[in-house]
Amino acid sequence: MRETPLHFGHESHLVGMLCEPDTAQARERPAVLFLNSGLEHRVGPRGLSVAVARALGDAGFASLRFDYAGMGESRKPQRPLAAEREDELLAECAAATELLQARSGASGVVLFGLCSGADDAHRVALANDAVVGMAQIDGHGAITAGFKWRYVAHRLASPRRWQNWFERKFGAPADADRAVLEGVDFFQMPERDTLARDLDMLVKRGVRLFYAYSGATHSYYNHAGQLRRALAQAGVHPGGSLEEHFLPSADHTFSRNAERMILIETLLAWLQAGWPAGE
Amino acid sequence: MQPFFFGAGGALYGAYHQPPAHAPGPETALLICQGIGYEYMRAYRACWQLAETAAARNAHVLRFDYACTGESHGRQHEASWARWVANTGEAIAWLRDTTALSHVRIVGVRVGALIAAAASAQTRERRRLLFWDPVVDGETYLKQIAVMHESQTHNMNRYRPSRHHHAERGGDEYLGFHWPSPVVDELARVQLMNYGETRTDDWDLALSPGESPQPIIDTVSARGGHVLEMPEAMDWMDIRAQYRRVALPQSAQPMLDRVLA
Repeated sequence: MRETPLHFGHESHLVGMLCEPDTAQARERPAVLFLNSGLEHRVGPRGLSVAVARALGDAGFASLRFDYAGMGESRKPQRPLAAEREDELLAECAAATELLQARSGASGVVLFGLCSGADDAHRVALANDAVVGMAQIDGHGAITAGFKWRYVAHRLASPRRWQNWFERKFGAPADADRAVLEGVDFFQMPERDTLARDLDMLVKRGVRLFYAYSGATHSYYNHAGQLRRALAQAGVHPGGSLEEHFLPSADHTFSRNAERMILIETLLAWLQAGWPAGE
Repeated sequence: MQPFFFGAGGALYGAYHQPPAHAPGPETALLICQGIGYEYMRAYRACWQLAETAAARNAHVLRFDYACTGESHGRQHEASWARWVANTGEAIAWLRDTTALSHVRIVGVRVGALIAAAASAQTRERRRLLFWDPVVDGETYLKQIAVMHESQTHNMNRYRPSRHHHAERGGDEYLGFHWPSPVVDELARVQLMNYGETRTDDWDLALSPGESPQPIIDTVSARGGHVLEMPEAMDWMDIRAQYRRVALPQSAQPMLDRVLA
């Protein structure tokens, strides 16, 4: 595995890191494009993107991680290609995709995004035909009846919730000043039917989908298979094109080594099953 | 800005900000020693902006990632304090060789200030250092981060079913980063004041609201250095601010006025 920093974009204003396997990648295998999460630069939250990219590189998959314009080491363009930031992002990802394909020889690209990066991946996948796969981590989901009864049951059974209720009723919680609520609220969740329609379109285009959820998504996802059931309720059946994983003990950025390794191994297995080395 | 790899085995990621032709001011060389862990993430863009601003003032600027952090080669569990100090020496040497300027000035951010002081202590050259909200006592710093980490885990688990609880803090965990004993043990022994007694470097301080390490302020003042009061709040030790990016809209120029003087 070797890494090469480079500039690209219509004003060479974007900075990225190309990660290539030691042996030439088969054209049939896709390369992986990492999207930024929140305000984190291209190394990813707690270095997640670097860790995943290097593991993929060792397994034979090329990748590119880069900073969106105005983040990390990338400049804002003096002459943007689009008036809206969302459209400019699509242009940046198109430039990154072209670069990745040209440098790696891969015919297709798999998008990897966590949180807001997953939301970005959804829009990029819909807009870019070079995308053959999408890995969303703590990204989109949809509420089901199964989610609701589990959610209510947990709240009723939680001594902590009752304690909070009493504290709110009769006094401030002792650790209110230190409270950090874990949650995923950095993007607008699409409506279930919109999500189902979009994913149906992607699946019909041959795009493979990988959705992984940590325990931080407890406000909208709380059991394995929930996304598939939600899609089925909307009349969409992605079959083998969708792989869904729930890693409830993980935090939002998969910061602990054990859970990060599980995520990487699961993702790698999905990539290798979808695009075997000898195919 | 030119991104590249340098150092032994080309293992260190660096970003060289070359001054434009005809940039005003005397030609200088500046190294930025970034923080570590979540503080590195928080200040990354601010360090880039500081470097761009300095380059526009005719400074050759190098930013870099310590071994086993950021984009540099190696995994976190292979990191060591001694390597980070040695990396800083390599970065100083690269800047000196590239620019032919013998005086390499340093801005050290948080733990980066300790690393900068430690690296400077390994040479005889008198150097100008500006410490931005320096960590002055490694042991206290590690304890504070550990407490923040435990508080975060506690709060995470408040709202999760018990079967989905996030694991309690491991011994090497500091807010999502895993520092092995060659980092933690050495960092716990380091105090910024210790370098003040033996060094004749020119020290300046830039302190954000709430940062008031009195012994260092007194030492810097006694040595004729300046203490800049930054208007921008950083809140390094506030767990709620860990995802907030810091910026230097007002302090970049006065900081550079001092360190490039």
